[in-house]
Amino acid sequence: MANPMEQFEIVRLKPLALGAYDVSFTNSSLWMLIALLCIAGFLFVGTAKPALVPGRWQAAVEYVYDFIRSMLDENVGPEGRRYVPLIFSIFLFVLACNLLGLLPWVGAFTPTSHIAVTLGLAVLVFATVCIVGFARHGLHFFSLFWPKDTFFPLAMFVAFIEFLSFLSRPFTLAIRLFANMTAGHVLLKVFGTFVVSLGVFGILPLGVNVALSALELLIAVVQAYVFALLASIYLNDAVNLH
Amino acid sequence: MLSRRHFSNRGEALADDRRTDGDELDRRIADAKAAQDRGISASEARAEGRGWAIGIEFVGTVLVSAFLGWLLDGWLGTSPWLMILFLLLGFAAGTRRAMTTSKQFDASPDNDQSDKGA
Repeated sequence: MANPMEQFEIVRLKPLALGAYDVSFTNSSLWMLIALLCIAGFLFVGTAKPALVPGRWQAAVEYVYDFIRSMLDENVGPEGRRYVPLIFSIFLFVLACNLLGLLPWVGAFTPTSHIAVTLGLAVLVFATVCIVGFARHGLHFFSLFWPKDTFFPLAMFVAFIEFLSFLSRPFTLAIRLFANMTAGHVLLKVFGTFVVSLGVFGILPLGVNVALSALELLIAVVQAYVFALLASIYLNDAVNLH
Repeated sequence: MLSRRHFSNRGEALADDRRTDGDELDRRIADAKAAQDRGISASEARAEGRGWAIGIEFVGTVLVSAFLGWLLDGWLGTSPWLMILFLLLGFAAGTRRAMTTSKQFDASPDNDQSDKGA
């Protein structure tokens, strides 16, 4: 039986070293690059010939952009417009990585099934939240943790708990995406090996795999949406300190 | 004679088609809508995503807190007391996180209330 974790293996395509660091060009880097090229292609085609009445590609690009803009408008308010480029980029990158990873090719790879990638994105969001928070509110940003109108010793306790939950934000953001992508791909692979090993009765797991593929497609899109939604909710905390 | 009647019948049928073109389109739109509703709608998918998000929020906070306690234990040599303390605090923090996140999701106008009746 093929190892279901084999698909997550990092392969060095071009070994490189920067000082003591290993900065090899891996299959993960390759697929992130492919994701970027797909996004760039999508956006270039969509905005190549802008018309008042949009064509199909332009309508698609406008729809995605409008989706992110209204998400920030609703969750952050008018100030949220500034962060549309950031959230838009993150959303499209996660979406492209998730969807490309579903391609049933040998060598296809899902960068977002690695916690190094998702944690990198989550830390980017977390750092942005901290920088925006301190830049806008200075040390007053710490009042995010302080409960109002609470008995002092209890408030200390609650503030500590709030601090813990604030610190865990980038991790939960990263773990959610990574766990969803990894679990889905493992399931697909496990049922895929059943198809081979069961012979004629392999038709049953094949049916399951068809249904699972549809579910994975849904999860790929929904997880990109949830990542962007939570990022904008976290930004709201920093922009509009309650 | 026969063929002529046949022809005129077809002509009538054509005229009939043209008359009911609007109704036909309405019916097709309704059919397409019904077919779409049979699957998972976009808002249902988003709702499911948000539900899972809250679950992982809770579990993740507990794990991260316990991990922080474990790290501090390693530095201060107080194993395992800080890990236990942080695990308990993590439960409190996780519950709070799940509560605030679900409240924020509810407050988000993105939340489709209109779909609840369906």
